[in-house]
Amino acid sequence: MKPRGAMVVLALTATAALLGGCWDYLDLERRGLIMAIGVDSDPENPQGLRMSVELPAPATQAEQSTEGQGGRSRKVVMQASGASVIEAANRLRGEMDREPLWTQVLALVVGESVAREGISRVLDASMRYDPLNLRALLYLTDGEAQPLLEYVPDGHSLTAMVLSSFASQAPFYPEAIRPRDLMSIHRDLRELGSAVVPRVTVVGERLHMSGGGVLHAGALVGWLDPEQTAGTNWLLGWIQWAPILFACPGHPQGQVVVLARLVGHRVDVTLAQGLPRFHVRISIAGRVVEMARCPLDLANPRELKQLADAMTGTVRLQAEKALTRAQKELQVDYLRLGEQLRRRYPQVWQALDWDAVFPETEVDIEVLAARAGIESPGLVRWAVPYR
Amino acid sequence: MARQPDNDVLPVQALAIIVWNALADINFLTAPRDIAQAAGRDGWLAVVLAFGFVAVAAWLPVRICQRFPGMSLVEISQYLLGRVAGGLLTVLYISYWVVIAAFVLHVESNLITTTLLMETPGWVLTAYFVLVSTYLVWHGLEPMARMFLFFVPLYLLPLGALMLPVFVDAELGRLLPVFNGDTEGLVRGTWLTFAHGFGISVVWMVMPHLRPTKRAGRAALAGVAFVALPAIALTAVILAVLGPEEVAAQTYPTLLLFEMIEVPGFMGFRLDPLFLVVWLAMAFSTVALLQYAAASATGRLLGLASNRWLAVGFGAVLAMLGAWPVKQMDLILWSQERIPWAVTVTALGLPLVLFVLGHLRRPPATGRRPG
Repeated sequence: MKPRGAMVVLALTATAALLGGCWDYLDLERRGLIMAIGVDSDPENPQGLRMSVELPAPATQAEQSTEGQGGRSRKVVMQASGASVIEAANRLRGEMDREPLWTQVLALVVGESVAREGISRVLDASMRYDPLNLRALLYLTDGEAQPLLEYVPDGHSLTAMVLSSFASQAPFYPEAIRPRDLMSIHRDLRELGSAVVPRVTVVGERLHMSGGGVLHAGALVGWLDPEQTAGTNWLLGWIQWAPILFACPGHPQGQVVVLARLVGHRVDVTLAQGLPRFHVRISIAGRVVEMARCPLDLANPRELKQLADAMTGTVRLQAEKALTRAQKELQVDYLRLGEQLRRRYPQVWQALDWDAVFPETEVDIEVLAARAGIESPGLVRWAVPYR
Repeated sequence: MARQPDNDVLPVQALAIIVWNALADINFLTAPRDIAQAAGRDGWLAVVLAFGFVAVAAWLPVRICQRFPGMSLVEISQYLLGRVAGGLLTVLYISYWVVIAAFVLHVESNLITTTLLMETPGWVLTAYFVLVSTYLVWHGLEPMARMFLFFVPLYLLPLGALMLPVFVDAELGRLLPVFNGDTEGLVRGTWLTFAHGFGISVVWMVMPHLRPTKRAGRAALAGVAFVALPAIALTAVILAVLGPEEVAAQTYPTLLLFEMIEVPGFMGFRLDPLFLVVWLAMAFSTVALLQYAAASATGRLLGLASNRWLAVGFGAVLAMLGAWPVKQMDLILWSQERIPWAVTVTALGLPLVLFVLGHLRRPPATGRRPG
């Protein structure tokens, strides 16, 4: 290569180094990894918000399995208030000794007072401002979010980790709404006008995920108890496996638990006199995992059917309770029935005021025992022969 | 590196690569937003329809140039319309290519400064981009085509790898009902999709460099198909995952789609920078092709033997236009209101006129060969 050419290449290379825009590079040791965020109303300013953040205490990371070093907490929880979440977040800089890094947030917990007013003040900033992590899971709490972040879990070093691991438990735990990311909740609210969000609380000394909160037009309108939540999960098809407990048919002293799995979930809609009528068909199958004091013989087809009927009956009851909660009490279609109508009959859906029609809409719930219903008695064929 | 005399001679297969690079922006970044806003959940249908028009837009210049071998838009338009009108038409195309290149540069700098390098001035990124594209254009069309060939795996692998995990979250019911009777929305969506193929008219300046040109039509259509399939798949997936309302509301919906991917075992790790790299490569190739087309057309119009310094000049113009303060909302307005008309005229309207005139008039005995 000629000297002149080499100079040009050298100059271009040097220019590239200058133009890369990386002059604000910051070492990880100088970053404060924000892992969870809690948003509450500001007690000193009803219009304002108080943001709590949870960060790992870096010096104790190597000692995660212990209680910390010399009594030091394994994490740092900080608060700041402001008229908006962005202002509150920025005010944290006044106290933080590290540059806050928001991209790693695992969970966002919204306190009840903020949720009742509407979560747009929280979600709009998250959707709009790139450094905030849209994959963070959204939870509601019936109280304040701050105590949840201050809670020190046993199995993890951070509340954020507990909230994150709840997401992997949910498909097998029907008593709580499945945790979903901010983007999914936002999409539901835009698309359907409503969404269900898991509820977390501190019960005693434990962080507890149970039930869910119903958001309508962005605001919390009511809570679901564990049974209503289980029914909601069945109606939405959000269950993978669920233990179904019911009394032993014909022998009320005994009880049966079937680990049921969702085999099929289908929502059909038909029109009757211009109004929609829904048919929700849930197909389940399961294996018996407990049968104490239940003398039924699973080898007997008639008794096996009794058991399968009791299983489907229990699920139907849960689903009906959830439907009553949605239609008659909250009057909010978080069951996505309106979406089915829109897909099947868009003109009808457009012509209807769905919010007004939904509470009176006919919904048939059919729970079927798929295949044999009870697929397996487990590893033993009869109940153990003692009390 | 000394420029070889045959640096501007391409095999016909190279046309497929060039057409693909000229069109690839359809796949990425902003197109789904505009399409979803117009056609809603039928956006994917609009993309299918639009590629029919894109194929026609790719085929027209090829067919005309095959009739006038060795001639580009500059010579053909002067031959068919006369020196003055033909010259004006060439100036119109040069202006179009420059403006479109500046538009892509603005989108690029806006995206980077919004998501990645928030403290870096946009003009710095633009200047960097133009510097590299000028270097590429300086060395002619053949090195450009060779470099674009490297983009094939860069384009296919990450896009495929990114779309698969996203598909897990797709709910195909969001695409229902298929065609709900909004013909106007579907037509507008088709038009906007077509308009995102704004680089297709560079074919005019590439055709004279092909040896031979016999199968150029097939090559051009292969390039179109190479873009069409992932574009349709991406549009369907993005609508099925995010829903049409959300896609329309997002400034960069595709970026959001890939931002949502969670890689098991890599908590907090984001894949959208990978997508950004793919998009930057595609945007770079589009800008380089447009810059080349502008320089080449100007050189031919002025009868210059070399386009090198013209490429530098256009690079300077692009750097200046790229530094021009433009608001993000103006870019959206441009992509939805103004650019579609410009693309329709330059990629379909004027080529159709030249196509008709070209078949009414016999070609000259010998065509002008590229300098």
